[in-house]
Amino acid sequence: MNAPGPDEELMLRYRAGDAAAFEALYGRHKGGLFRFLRRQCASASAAEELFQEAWIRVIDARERYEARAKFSTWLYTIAHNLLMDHYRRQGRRGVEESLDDDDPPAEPIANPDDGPERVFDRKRQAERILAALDAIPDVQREAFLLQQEGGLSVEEIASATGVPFETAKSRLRYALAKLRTCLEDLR
Amino acid sequence: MTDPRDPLLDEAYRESARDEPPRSLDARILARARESVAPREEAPSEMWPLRRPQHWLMRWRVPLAVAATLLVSATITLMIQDTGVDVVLEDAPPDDRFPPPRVTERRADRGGETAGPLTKPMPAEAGRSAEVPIPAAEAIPKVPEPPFVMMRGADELRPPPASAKRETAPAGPELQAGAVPAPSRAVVPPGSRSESFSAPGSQAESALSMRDAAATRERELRESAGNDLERSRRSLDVASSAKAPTPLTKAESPEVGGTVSALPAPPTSAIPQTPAERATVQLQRAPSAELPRGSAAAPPLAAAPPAPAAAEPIPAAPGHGLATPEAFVERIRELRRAGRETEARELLEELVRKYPAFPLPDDLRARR
Repeated sequence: MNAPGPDEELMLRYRAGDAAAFEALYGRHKGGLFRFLRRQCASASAAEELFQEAWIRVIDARERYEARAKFSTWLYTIAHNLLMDHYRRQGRRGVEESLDDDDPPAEPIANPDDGPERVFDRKRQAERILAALDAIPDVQREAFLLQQEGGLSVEEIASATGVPFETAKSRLRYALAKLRTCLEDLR
Repeated sequence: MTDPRDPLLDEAYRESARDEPPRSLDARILARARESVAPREEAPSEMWPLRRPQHWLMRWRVPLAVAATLLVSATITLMIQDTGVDVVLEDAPPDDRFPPPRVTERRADRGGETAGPLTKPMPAEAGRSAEVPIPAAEAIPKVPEPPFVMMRGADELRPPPASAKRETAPAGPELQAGAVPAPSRAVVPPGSRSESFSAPGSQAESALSMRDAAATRERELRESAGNDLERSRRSLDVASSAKAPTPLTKAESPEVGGTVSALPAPPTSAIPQTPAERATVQLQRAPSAELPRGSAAAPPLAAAPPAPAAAEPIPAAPGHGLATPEAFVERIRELRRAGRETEARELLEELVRKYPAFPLPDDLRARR
């Protein structure tokens, strides 16, 4: 098997019919995309549905793919559009959604080397961060998640969300500031 | 240009965000991705199934339609060739005095070949037929019960169908007793006229015996027909001398190949006036009908007696054959030149009566 190259190269190989290239690409981005969607959807099933739909669009667009931009930017642009459609179907904005009681947020995977106290601290920290994320506006949360999960720059965030660069930068800055405030005691 | 970042926040988030999509979802997406590239890898073998699943009826609809069309066309053509277009027309109203015979008429088409007999049973009244007077019975030869349908000008002799046998059987004794079947004539194209008489009664088994019987009957009929024509000619001579001009009779005889015109009008007893009498004449003509075309053993009917056309022209009856006043005038002049003043005068009166506005020539007006 060839060594996985950049995302764009993998996608081009997949376009040429190399299914293994897609598996490598999927392995790189599945976690970030899933969490990006999961943090912004009220239910896990909706997030999974959007996650699957996003990858199906990538698969279907295989023959038309051209490496004109970063693969991650294209992938999160697709996810953003799906999310907007999902919001429209739900009739409410993601920022107003609250998590379902029967659908608790996913627990962080515990490190086996960690002791019980460390595991408890991690769990508590994760709950606070997720709670802080839920508290900020959706556009700011989206900008933060695109930076953290997708590894996108401000410019790429602006491109993926369809907003000017300054707007994207402003959203990201506001998101960081609010999260810092919420997690002040963690410092 | 540096993006706004908080390393501590990044680390805290990364430690808390470790959830992954379910493995089942991974499997579905990867399967879909592999399925998407599969057709390209197996293009030659995988593309066929997309074209193959077609119902056999859809694949064979065009050949089936063509075959069905051809089959129907061939069947119709064969049926037409086999049965032909048969027309049975009767120019004489059914005469109650005579038992209607089974008359089978075949109209040969222009090609003159194929036509199937179409038998038209007529209501036979056996009881009444016994009391029928027999006109010109002496002129009718004894018909030895032709056991089959005889076609005039036909190339073949064929036994009647079973239904024909069943219908014609009771009429046999009547014919033997001298009853004359009612005539029937078919309107057929000139030159392709064929008439046939289905003599009832016999149930011949083999075609050979039927052919022999036909030949025998043909000979008898020819002889009697020749005698009858001779008798008719003699009677006409007598009639013409007795100033009893009758309409000229025109009879087409395809076998002769010409028209027998100016046939001397036979005496009233010899001229077929009733349908039965016409049937008699037709029976007399029958021998030529029974013979195959071109048969040397059966010379045409008109060949035996001297040609009636050679007879001396008889002045037509007033008005007969003279369609225009000019023809009248010409005829009157001829009569006068021949010294037949009485007839010329009668014809002149007929002319004046028929065409009052016609200006008479001076020579006629002077003599009137």
